[in-house]
Amino acid sequence: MRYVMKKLFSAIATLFLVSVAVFFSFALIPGDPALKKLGTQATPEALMRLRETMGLNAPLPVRYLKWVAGVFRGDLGTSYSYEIPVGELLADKLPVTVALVLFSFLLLIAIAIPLGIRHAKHEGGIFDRSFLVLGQIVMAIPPFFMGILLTWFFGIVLRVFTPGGYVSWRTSLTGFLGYLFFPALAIAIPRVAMTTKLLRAEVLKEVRRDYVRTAFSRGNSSMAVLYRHVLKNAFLPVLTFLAMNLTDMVAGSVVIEQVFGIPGFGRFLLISILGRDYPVVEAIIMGLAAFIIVINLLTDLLYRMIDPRIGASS
Amino acid sequence: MNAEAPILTVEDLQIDFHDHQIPETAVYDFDLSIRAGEIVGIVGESGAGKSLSALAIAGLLKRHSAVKQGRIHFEGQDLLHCERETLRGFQGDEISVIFQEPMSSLDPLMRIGPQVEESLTVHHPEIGSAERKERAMEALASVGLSDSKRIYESYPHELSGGMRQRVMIAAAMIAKPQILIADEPTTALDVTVQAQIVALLKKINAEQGTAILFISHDLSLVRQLCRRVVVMKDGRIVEEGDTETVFLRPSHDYTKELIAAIPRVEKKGTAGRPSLPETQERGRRPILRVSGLDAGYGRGRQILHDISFELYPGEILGLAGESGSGKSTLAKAVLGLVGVTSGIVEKHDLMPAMVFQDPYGSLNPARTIEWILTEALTKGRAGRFPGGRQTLRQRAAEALAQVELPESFLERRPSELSGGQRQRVAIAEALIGRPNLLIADEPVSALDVTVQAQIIALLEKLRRETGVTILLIAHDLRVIYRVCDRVLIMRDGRIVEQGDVERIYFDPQESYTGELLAAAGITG
Repeated sequence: MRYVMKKLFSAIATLFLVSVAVFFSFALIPGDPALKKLGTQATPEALMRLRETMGLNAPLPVRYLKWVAGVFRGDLGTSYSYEIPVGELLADKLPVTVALVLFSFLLLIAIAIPLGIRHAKHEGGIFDRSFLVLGQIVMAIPPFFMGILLTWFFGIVLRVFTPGGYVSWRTSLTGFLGYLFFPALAIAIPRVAMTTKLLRAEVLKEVRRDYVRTAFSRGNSSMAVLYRHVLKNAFLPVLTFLAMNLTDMVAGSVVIEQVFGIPGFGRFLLISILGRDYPVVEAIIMGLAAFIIVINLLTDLLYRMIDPRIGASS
Repeated sequence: MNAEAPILTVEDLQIDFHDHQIPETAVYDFDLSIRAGEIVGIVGESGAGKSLSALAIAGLLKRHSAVKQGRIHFEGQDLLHCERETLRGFQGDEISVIFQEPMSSLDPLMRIGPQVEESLTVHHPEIGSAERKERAMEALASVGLSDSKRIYESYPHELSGGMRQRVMIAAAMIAKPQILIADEPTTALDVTVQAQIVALLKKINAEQGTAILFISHDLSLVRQLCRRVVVMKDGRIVEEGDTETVFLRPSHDYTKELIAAIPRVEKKGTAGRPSLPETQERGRRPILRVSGLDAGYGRGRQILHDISFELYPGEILGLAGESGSGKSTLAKAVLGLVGVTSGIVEKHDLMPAMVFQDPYGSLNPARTIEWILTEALTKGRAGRFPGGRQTLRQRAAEALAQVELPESFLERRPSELSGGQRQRVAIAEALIGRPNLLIADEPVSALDVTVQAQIIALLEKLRRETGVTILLIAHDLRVIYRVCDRVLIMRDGRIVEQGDVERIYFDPQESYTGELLAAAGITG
C-alpha cells in the first residue's frame, strides 16, 4: 500500500511539472494568438482589446493559476480559433484516437506473442531465420511509409478498403473498425517485429536457467515447462517494453491519422499548433502526459503483482 | 526381489559434445550400479565428468548438444534409448534430482507449494488438489521445515539457502522415488547447514529406503555419507570401492593426491607450525589494533558489535564464521569502507590490499594481464607513471613471478587462464602495490581441492618470503587450520572466540566454536 501511495505521489508530481513546462513554453515561444486571429491588418487598439478579453495581458503566473483552476473544474478553456469549449471539441476526436491506439495495441499483442513463442521453439530453423531477416527489414520501415504501402496495396491494388473513406463510429461501428484496421496495422507492424524479437530472446535466455532443468527433472513435457515456468519469467521484460510501446503508439498515431485521413486528436493537434490555438494544444498535451503517467503507473503495479521479488527488500 | 540386485545399472556410458567442430568426449566408459537403499558417492574435481554422468542418468542432458552412447538400465528400460515419454514417466516419479544452487533451481515467480507438488501434478493427476497440498505439507514437514504452512505460501527469495535446499529435497521426495540424485547439494551452503542437509539425506535414506547418488567435490562429506565411492578424473572412473577402503588405502595415484590435498586437522603442537604471535611476537607492535568497534551500513544497519582484536606483522590471522556473520564487513571496516559508529581502528603504516573470492568476476575480461596488474599503479594513465612503461612491465613481471607464473602470462587475457591461475593473477594484482597486509576474502572457496592446496601453499610462501601479514577470511575451518596462526570465530557480527588456532581447535571455550568444528567434521 505504501508503495502504491509513493507511486501515486510521484505520478502527481510529474503531472504538475509537465503542466508548468507546457504552459510556460507555449507562453514563451514566438507567435501571438491575438494577431493570428485578427490578421496582420488589425489595428493596435483592436489587438490590445482582444488580448485583454483573451486574458493574455495578465502576468504569466496568474494566467497559469487561472488555467490550472479551470482544469480542476473540468473547464479546459475555449479554443481561440473555433470559440467553443476545448472539452467539447475534443469529445469528438478523443474516442477515435483511443480506438485506433487500442486496436493497434491488441493487434501487436495478438501477433507478437504467439510469434515470439513460435520463434523460440524453432530456434535456428528456416522459419526462425527467415523471420529474423524479415523482422529486421520491417523494423526499419517508419509507420507513415508502412501506412502508404498498406494504402497502396490494400486500398488501390486490392481495393479491400477505400482510402480516405473514413466511416464515423456514429454511423457504423463495424465500418469504423474496418477502416481503422489498416492504420492500426501500420502502427503495429514495426513494433510486432521488435516485440517478437525481444520475446524470442527472453524465452531463449530463460530456457537456459537452472529452474528449467528442475522442471524437466520432474517429468514435465517441453510444452509444460514452457507454459508453466518459462513464459511468465520471459514475459517480465516484455511487459515493460509493451508499456513503453503503448505510450509511444499514441505519438505514432498523430502521423498515421494524417496519412489515412482519420479525424483523431493527433491530426487536430497539428492544426492547433499551427493556428497558435494554445488552450487546445495544452489540453491535448496534458491529456497525453496523464495517459503516459497512468500507463507507467499501471505497469509498475502489474509488474509488482507478477514478480514477488520487487520491493521485497524494502 | 533380491536386495543385492542393482535397481539401476549404467554400462559403457560415453558422452560427446559437438558444440565445437571437433567432437569432444567428456565422459568415457562410465559404469555404475546402484542397489536399492544404497548411498553411492561420485567424487572428482570440476571437469571430471561427475555431474555430466549424473545428469545423463537423470535424462537431463540436452539432446542436441551431447551424444550419449552406452546403456542405462532401469525398470527393464534403457533410459538412453527409450521413448521420451517413457523417460518422462520416470523423471520426478522414480528418479529425482536436487541441484547445487537451490535459489536458481527454483522458479522465482512461483510459490513454494506448487513447486513441491509439481511431480505429483505431472505424474499423478488422479490426486486431487486438497490431497496434493496435504502431501506437500507433509513433505515440507519431513525435511524439517516446521512452519510448513507459511513456507507453502512463500516465494523462493523469502527463504534462506538452507531452507531452499530443504524445499528442493521435499519436492524431489514427494512422489517417493527409488533413486535421488544429489548433484553437489551442499556446495553453496554454510558448514552447519551442510551438516544438516547431509543428516537429512541420511535420514531419508534410512527411513524411506531411497537410494542416493551423491555427487560432490568434497571428499570429507562423501566419507560421512556414502558407503561406496566412485572417483573420477578427466571423464574416467579411476577408482571405485568401499569408501573407507578408498580413503585409507587408495590405490590410484590421483586418489592419493586428492586425499592428500584435503587440509588435515591433526594436533601438531608447537612443533608442526611456525608459532609466531602469542609467543615471540607479543612484544612487537601490532600493525592494526581494533578496539570496541561498532560498524555497519548507515542508520539501523549495524553489522559489527564490539569487535576487538590485534594484527601483528607477519602473522596469518583467520576469520571464520558462517555467511552473514560479518566476516567481509569486518574486512571492509579495516579498509575504512563501512561507517564506524564507535570504537577505535588504530593503523600503523598499514598498506592493505584485497584478494576476492571469485577470480572470474574480479578480473576485467577485456584486458590483458599486464593491463590488469598495472592498473592499480597507474590508475589507467600509464604515461604518467614515473619510470614509464618499461618499469611498469617489470613490476608486473615481478608480481607474476611472486605468484609463480611466467612472464609470458602478461600478454594473456583472463579467459585464457584456469581458475587457479586467475586466482594467482588476483593475488599478483594485490601484491603489485607492495602492501604489508593482504586481506584475502574466501580466496580458495571457488577452487578445486588440489588447486586450493596450491593457493594455500602460495600464501604460506609469500608470508615466509616477503613477511606480508595476511587476514584470511574463510568459512572452511580446515583451510584456516592449515594456514593460520591465530583465528577469530565470528557469529552475528560479534567475535565469539579468538586465539591460537591449536588452542581454539582442540580446546574451544565457547559452545558455538564446538558446534562449528563438529559440523565441519573436525571434532566429534
